Amino acid sequence: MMALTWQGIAMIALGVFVGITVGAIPGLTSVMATAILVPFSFFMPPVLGIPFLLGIHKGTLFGGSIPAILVNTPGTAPAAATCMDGFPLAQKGEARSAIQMALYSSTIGDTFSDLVLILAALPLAAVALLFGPTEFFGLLLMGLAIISSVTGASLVKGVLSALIGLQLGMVGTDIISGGERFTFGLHGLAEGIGVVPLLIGLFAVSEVFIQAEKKASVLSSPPDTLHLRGGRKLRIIEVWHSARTIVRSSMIGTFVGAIPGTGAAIATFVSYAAAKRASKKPEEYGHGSYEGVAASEAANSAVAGADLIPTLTFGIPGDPSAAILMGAFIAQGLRPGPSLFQEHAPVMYAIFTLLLIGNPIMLVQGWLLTGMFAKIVTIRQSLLVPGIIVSCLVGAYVYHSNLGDLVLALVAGLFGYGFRKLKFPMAPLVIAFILAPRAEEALQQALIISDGDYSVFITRPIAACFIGLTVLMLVTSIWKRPWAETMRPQTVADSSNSKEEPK
Amino acid sequence: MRKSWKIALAVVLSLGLLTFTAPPAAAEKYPSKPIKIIVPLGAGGSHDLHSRAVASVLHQYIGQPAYVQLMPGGGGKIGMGALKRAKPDGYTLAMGANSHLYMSPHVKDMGFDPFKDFIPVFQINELPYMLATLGNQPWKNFKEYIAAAKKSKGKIKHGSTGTYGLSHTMMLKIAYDTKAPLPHVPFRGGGPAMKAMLGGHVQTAGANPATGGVLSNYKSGKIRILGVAAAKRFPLFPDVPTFREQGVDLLLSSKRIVMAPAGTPKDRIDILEKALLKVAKDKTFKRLLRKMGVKAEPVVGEKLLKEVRAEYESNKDIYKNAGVKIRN
Repeated sequence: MMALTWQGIAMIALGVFVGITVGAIPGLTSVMATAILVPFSFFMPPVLGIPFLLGIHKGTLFGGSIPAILVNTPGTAPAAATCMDGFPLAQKGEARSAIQMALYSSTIGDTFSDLVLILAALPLAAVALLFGPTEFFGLLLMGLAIISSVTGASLVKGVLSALIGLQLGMVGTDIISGGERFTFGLHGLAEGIGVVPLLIGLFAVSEVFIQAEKKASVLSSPPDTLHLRGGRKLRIIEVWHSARTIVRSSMIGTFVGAIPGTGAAIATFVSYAAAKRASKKPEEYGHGSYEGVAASEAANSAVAGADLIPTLTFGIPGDPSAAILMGAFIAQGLRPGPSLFQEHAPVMYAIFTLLLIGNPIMLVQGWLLTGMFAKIVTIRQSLLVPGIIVSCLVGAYVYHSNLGDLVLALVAGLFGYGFRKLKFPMAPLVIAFILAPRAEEALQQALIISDGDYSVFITRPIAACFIGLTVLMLVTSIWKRPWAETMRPQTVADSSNSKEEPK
Repeated sequence: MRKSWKIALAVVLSLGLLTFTAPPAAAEKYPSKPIKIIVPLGAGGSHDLHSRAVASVLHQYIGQPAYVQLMPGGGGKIGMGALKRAKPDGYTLAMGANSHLYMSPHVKDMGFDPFKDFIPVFQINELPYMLATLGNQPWKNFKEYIAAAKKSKGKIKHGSTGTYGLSHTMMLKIAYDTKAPLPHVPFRGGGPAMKAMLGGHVQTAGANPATGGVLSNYKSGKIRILGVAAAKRFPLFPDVPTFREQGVDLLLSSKRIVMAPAGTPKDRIDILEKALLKVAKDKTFKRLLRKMGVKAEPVVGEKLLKEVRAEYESNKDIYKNAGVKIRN
């Protein structure tokens, strides 16, 4: 039992703490934190250094939900889905219980995915390899069809929002031709529009503009008594009501996470849409649904263990933070590959044990920290808002140490302000922006491989399956016409929430 | 209340001004402040790991700490662009790769000229590029692969690391020399390309000996290596013939080169070069590299410049022969 040294447990606990903190600061990402801290792991034995980094990886995925819920700021793309329901809950004075829901679902999702990693890494990795560009395109198309369930009150505005997202996603280098599109000769746009600065701008900076409209007296008035303790605590029965959602989302997160090149954002959107479809109260989604928070948080944390599956079995990282973790494994002489689990069995299983122990540690730390974080909403707006904007702009800059990203965040902020004023839903834009460029890439790759033959999307079973599901989703959403019946004029991006709040 | 705010502001501003107007120390001793190493590629990749290994020991030999700043994006354009604009005072360096330094500028506007804007200071090592395929493919060696490619008329595809990246360039050269049609499917980097190859979606992919999973997949027979683009065989893969042995005159490797902006004073370059050569012999540094499956094989000065020039020209020829439109 070399795993259970107190140093090992201390390292993963420290990692989880760093992770939650980094995740809770908008703009700081797990990629950045692990990248900075990897060198420290060089000088530690693998059973200490690696758990430290894995703790960060875990912690950030939960930590990201904190600013999403409290101040409507997704520091990372997957947390964008958490904003949709978490922020309305915080505005109702239920910040603490919303964060607790995020914590419980994150812990369950993460534990589930760690168990799958430990018990079924090799078979699941073999399934992941079946996903070529053709299958990827099917999966991403299904992801895009999700837009139909988040268009909000006006279909036209929803579609317009998605189209803008699509257009923004086109900016940058087209990997097939190597040519640049819509960069207007700006070298900073060669890699496309950065997702972190864009989200910070759209959500956080625009929120600041909205707040700036208010009178000074409103901003500096003490907060509602409702908020003073950061809201009520979550009852266990409420978690139980969302149990089906949490389990479903954990499975979706684990499966999608195991496919390299997907990442937490796709998993989150897919499971959010699945939860909404299966829910008895879909009309609550987007207006403060605990299920919605559970769905997105369980799914994005479930990616934490699963993205190590392709990383460790094939040396193909599932997403950028897994890429850094792979670097850390390599730097420790733990070279990824199918034989890693045999050649280094004692070390690997020690690491896995600590990975599992990390989950209750996260639960305890999150539980202790939640009350503290939730108090952020008790700060007067006039003090909180400047703090948020500084932290967000720093985050946008350190994303790639690029001054252009700062400009981008501000421009996106102005744009997001207009968007919210005109009551356009933000979710279609974000989903289209993230998924469409990858879908396009996969489509092109699939067609190069098939020599231009479109029938592969029907003849290859996995791709056909996803495309069938996509058609089904679109048909049922036309059938149900959710935008006409179940949606009230308020949407995620809707600013009226904050304005209607009694002060 | 208002007034104290203003006073505080005034104090902060004047303090800021002070630091700006402080007179520069006369005849500054180099280095007298920390050195920044820009990594123009993604986190966790081999350039990142090498830079961190350098940064973790360099201070022992130069007397100042070194730190790594990741500036990925645009295939090296963003990070190298920042190096070009940095003050040439020896405090800003970058860990460059030959793909964005000596390949991409031929075919697209990178915003820099690799020779006019940068000085190559120190090449840590280079890893030869290899062509990998699944172990269960019908072709057992390079010759059979080429024969099969000719017969298939373009059905056998290569998963590349991106258009005009390392592996695409390798395939252009092989296709030109063997007259076989070898179309490529561009992916976002080596990992996704390798995954598509392992899943059988494309038939070949590029790799270097330190690519994650390559060695163990090779040993287990899951993958086969058809050739290595080096002058001699690679010790870890003794059975794999070079491309030269197989009739294709191809030398291609992935390099990690410490670059300085043009205009950096010669004496500072010398100090850096000396310190970096000591780094290459450092025990900790060697241990870190050994764990990654590589070792330090430093090349510096005139020899380095000659080598990268030769590579630049040879890549140009590859593109020209392939009918690619060259920029200059």
